[in-house]
This record gives sequence, structure tokens and C-alpha cells, in this order.
Amino acid sequence: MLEIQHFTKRYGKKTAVDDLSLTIQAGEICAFIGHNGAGKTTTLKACCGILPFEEGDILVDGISVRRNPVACKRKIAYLPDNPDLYEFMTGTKYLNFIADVFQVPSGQREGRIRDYAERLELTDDLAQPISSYSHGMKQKLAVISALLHQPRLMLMDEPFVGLDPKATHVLKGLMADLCAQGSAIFFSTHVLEVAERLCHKVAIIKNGKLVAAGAMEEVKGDQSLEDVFLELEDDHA
Amino acid sequence: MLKRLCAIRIRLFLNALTGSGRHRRGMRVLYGFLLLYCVVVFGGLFGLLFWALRPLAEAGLSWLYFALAGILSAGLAFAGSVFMTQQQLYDAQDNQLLLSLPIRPSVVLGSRMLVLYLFDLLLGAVVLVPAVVVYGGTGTFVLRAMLSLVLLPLLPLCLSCFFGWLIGLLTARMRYKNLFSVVLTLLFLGGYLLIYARANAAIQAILLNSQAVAQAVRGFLYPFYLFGMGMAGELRDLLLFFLGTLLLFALVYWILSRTFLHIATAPKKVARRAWRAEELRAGSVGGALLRKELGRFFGSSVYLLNAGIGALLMLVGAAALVVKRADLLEAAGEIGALNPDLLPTVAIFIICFCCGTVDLTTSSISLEGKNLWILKSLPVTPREILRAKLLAHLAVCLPPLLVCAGTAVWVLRPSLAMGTLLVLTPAAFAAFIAVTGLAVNLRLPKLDWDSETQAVKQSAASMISVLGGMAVTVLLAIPYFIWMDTLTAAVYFAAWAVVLALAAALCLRWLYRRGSACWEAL
Repeated sequence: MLEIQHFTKRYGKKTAVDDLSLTIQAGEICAFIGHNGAGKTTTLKACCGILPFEEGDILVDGISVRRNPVACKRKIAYLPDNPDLYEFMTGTKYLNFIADVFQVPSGQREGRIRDYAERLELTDDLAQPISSYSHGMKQKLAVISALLHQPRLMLMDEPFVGLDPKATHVLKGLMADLCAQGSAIFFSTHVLEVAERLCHKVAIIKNGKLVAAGAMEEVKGDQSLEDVFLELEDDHA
Repeated sequence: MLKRLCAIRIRLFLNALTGSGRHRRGMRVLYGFLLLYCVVVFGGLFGLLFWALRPLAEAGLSWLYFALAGILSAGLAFAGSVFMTQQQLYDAQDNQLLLSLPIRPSVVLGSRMLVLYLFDLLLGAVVLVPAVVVYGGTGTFVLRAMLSLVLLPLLPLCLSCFFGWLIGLLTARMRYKNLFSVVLTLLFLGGYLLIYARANAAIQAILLNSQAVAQAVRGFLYPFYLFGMGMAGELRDLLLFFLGTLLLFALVYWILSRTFLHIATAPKKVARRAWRAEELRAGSVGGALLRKELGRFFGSSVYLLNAGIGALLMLVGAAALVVKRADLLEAAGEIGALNPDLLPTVAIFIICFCCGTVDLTTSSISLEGKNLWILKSLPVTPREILRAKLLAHLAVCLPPLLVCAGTAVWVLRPSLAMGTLLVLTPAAFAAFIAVTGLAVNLRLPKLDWDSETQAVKQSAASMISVLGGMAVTVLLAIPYFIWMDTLTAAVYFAAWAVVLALAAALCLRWLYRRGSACWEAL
């Protein structure tokens, strides 16, 4: 579903991500972990076509993000680390806007919004302006908007930050449901326990270079993911 | 700490104006021209006004001359800053960050009030400097004038802070607070235009009834009586006025300091409304993008009032044409006998000027700010995004244009050619302003703003577009009035309509080709 081929991103003379290659199959959840500034957000933004890049390629369901970004974006949903949404809209209007852009049919959009909003306990706030939302409520709205068009690939940057324990639990369930339907999820996180329990795959990045990637069981072996991560951090120091 | 915060505020204010380092030198030159323009236009306007009021000084009522100057100066500064106060003081995005640092709320407030003070100082000087220059004087008068220039703005600052606080209090739980702000601002603007339209009659009335006016000022506006007396030579009165102003400022600052933390951190609660599924109506991608642009425009009083004022002026103009139809028909008959194209020509210039003040596109990219990721992650092409921004501009500008131009055609009864050009030339001008504004904003985006005012009013792109629009309007008018005896109006405006349409088409071509790449690089 997602194939990153020798992706390199430079900001001037600084190399943010260096020759990163990674593959995520349909139905897989892959955690992307690394220290602050390692290159996780840069990679995620490049995958969803927000950030232009010059070297390597990224394929979504076989389509190149560089050559056909719009076709790729139709299959993707992106959830940033800080969900800054249109504060002049109400929650309903924002979701309707996203549904229009992805051309979600009227009947389906209503059912999906009702279902996701009820599960995330946001139904009563959908008619309120986004400017009155808390960080967690914005995060929930961003999650609903990301799921509206049933994406084939979901890219998420720190999706659990700002969510209460119940919403975190619901989101994990939604992620599992999406993968069960054949979609893939690639998300960055610092919560290693969640990554360990939820993901089939893990990719560890350090200073822009991929230092470990593969099936969760293979990468961590008998150790915890935290131990593996700390060891790799020290090894490559 | 106050000094450091003030320095940061001033630097932010200047950075917002001059843009990034690469363009800074060019922007400084541009601001030099802007300053020159303001000195010439506003200095000239208020200079003429105070020239007409000079007989007061000659009649021994110098104090009344300065009292009126003080009232006008403080009034303009108050009207110009009162609607910025709420956003500058309480709604700034970095309030919570600053308040979380070991800085007293009063210091944060002080640094914010400084920006308002500078704005008041600038607006106050626009009136006060011409008054002082026209009056003339040497020695201690110059010192008194300079002191007044610095201290008088404290009075409108106190008033605008108080009213800003009051507006904040009234709109805190209002669902349609933007509508409230817009209506209030329009009432202010309407009052200002009314006073401006009747300035000549007011001057004559003041000159004829100077003693009664003097009595009224002394009775109801005593602080300005003191100010006037002080400027006319009574040092004791001037010191009293300054002391009163400083005390008032200290009181306002003290009250605001005590309530600042509470207001700035109050949750934004609004009247709740239940969710209705019927609001979910499906539409096209282009329609969704256009509705989003219009939603932003009508959802922000700052954007609406600064970028859409020309549309309102055109509607007011159309209403005025209907109301004054009989007078205009008479004038059209008299002037028409000499030059039948003159009144339609003036109408074209006025409508073009109004179109030049509709500036949605020039800040529509900057306004994406922290929301930019949304459009960039959606399956839409840069071309679709830019087209929606252009269409939103035209959707706001063209209907009032057609109403105004149509009314002008109905009232002025021009020839078929001039009637057609009365619609086509401003329409081409509006299209030109829309595409060039978007191109300028693409090249000079201001995405890291703290308040919308920075993106809409204080960015390099908005300054360039406003000045550019005015420059093109002047360019449109001057050649005609120089060579009006030899030029045929219809040919002249047809040529301009073609030139503007061609320029707009070329700029649109650039937008769709190179502009798309600029958008992707944002």
C-alpha cells in the first residue's frame, strides 16, 4: 500500500531524511518511532504530498506521490500532530467540506459522521464553531474527517496526543477496524507501549536514517520495544 | 521585561509590514512612497480643512481652533483603533504562551497597548500636524505642539481600550459576534462619511456660530477646552490637560491589568445549537472550495471590513444614485449639453476605485496560516484552489459592481457604447485586481501571523495591492483628464478594458503555470 523508495529530503544543506526505504502492506499498521527531530514528520508529510522532495519516490497503492499527487491524496488521509482546523466553520460544516472534496455520497456521509461522532462522543458539539473546541475535540474532529472517505492509507503524526483515555481506546479500535477492511496505517508515536500492542510493523528512525524496520516481533525479539529503541539510540549515538 | 516585550512587538509589527529579508529593501522603498502619499493626501485634506478654520484664530478664538483639532485628532485615532483593540489585547494567539512565562500580566498588557498607542499616534498626527503647520508659530509653541503630538493619543487609547473591553464583554457569548462587529463598524463608518460629506456646511456653521460652539466645547468637552487654551498659550491649562490624560491612562491601565488575565484566558463559549443531519448536503469540489473561501470572508469581521468595503461602497453608491436621481438627471442635462460622456466617465472612475478596494485575494493565501496543511493534503490541484480564491473575490465584487453600474446606466442614460463600457471597464479592472492580488500574495505570503489583522492589514502583500490598485486607478484617470478634449471617451475606455482584460489573462496564465509551483512550495 505504501512504498517509500530511497526517499531523501534536504532543507538547504541539512539532510532531514537520508535514503529511507520502507514498505507497508495493505492491512498493516506500522509505527514510526524516533527521537524529536529525527525526521518522522518530514517523512509523513512527504508521504501525503504536503512536502515536495527531489530524491527517491513514494508510491501509494502503486501511484507515485511525486508524479500524481492528487490521485494519491484521494486514497490517503492525513492527521497532523497539531490539528489546526478552520475555526470559522462549525464541526458539521468542516466535515461536509471534507466530504465534498472527497466526493463522499450524501447518504454515506451522514451515516459515517453519526457513527464516528457517537463513538468519539462529539455529536453534541458538531454544530458548535470549531473556535470553541478544546485541543482534544479538534483532534476527534480531525479523526472523523480523516475516516470519512474510508482511506486506503492513513498517515498520522502523534494521533493520541490530546485525546482522553476513552477516546484513545476508541481510536485504537477504529484503526484496527480500518486495517481489517484492507487499509494500511503509518503513524508516528512516542508511546511505545501502544505501538508494541497495536502495530504489526515498526520503523525506527534516527538522525534521518532508518536504523531498524520490520515485523514487530522480529524487531523487538524477546525484549520490549522500549529496550530495543533505547539500545538502538545508544548504538548509533 | 516591558522594554523587551515592547521591542519584540515593534519588531513583529515592522516585520509584518516589510516581509522577508529578501524583499525588505523593496518594501522600505514602497513604504517611503506610502508615507509620501499619506503626507500629500491627508496632509492636504486636513490642511485645507484647518485653512478654512483659520478665521477662528484671527477672531481671537485660537483655543477653539485647537480644541477642534484635538477633537478631530482624538476622534480619528479612536475610530481607527477601537475595532483593533479586542484582537490586539485579548485575542492574540501568543497570549497564553506569554502568560505562562514568569511575566506579569500587566507587562504583557503594556506591550500590547504600546502597539495601539503607536497606531493612535500615527492617526492623531494625520490631523494634528496639518493643524499646527497651518496655524504656524515658533518658540514654545513648537514644544507644546510636540508634547501634544505625543500625549494626546493617550486619550483615544484609553477610550478604545474601554470600548474594546466593552465590546469583548458584550460579544463574549454571542453566536454572531462578527455580524455585531461589522454592524457597529459600519455605523461608525456611516457616521464618519456623513460628517465628511457635511464638512463644508459644518465649517460654515462653526464660523457663523463660533461663540455658541465655544460655549458648547467649554461646557461639554471641557478637557478639549483646556487643550485648546493650552495650545493657544495658557501653559497651566495644557499641563492640567496632560495631567488629566495621564491620570486617566493610569486608571485605565490599572483596571485592565486587573482584568486582563481573566478576559484573555476566558473560554470562548457560545450559545449552543443542536446538530442537524440535514445540514449535510453534497456538492462539487469547486463549490466546496468556494464556500470555504466565502465562509472565511463572511466569518471574519477584520477580513470582511478591510477586504470588502468597496463592495459595500458600490451598493451605497447605487442607492445614492437612485435617491439623487432627479438632481443627477438635471446635471446630466446641463453637463450633457457640453460633454455627454463626462458623467458616465466619472462613474467609471468611481466604480473602478471601489473595485480597487475589494481585496480578498491579496490576503487569502496568507489567511490559510496554520490551516495550510488542510488544502495541501486534500486531493485538489493548486489550480482548483487558486480558482476558488479568485471566484470568491469576484463573487463578492461583481454583483455590487453590476448593481452600481446598472443603476448608473439607468440614471445617467449614457450612449450605448459608454453604457456597455460602464460595466465592462470596471469588470475588467475587478478581474485584474483579483488575479494580481493573488499573484502578489503567492509571492509574498504571511503565514505566521498571530492575529488576522497582520495578514489582512499589515502584510507586505496587502500594502502592495492597495497601493497598486490606487496607482492603476490614477493611471486610468489622469491621461483622460489631460487629453479629454482630444480623446473619445468610448475609445479610451474600450482600450483600457482590453488592456486590463489582457493583463488579467496574462497574470492568470502565470498563476495557473508558475503560481501552482509557488503554491506547492509554500
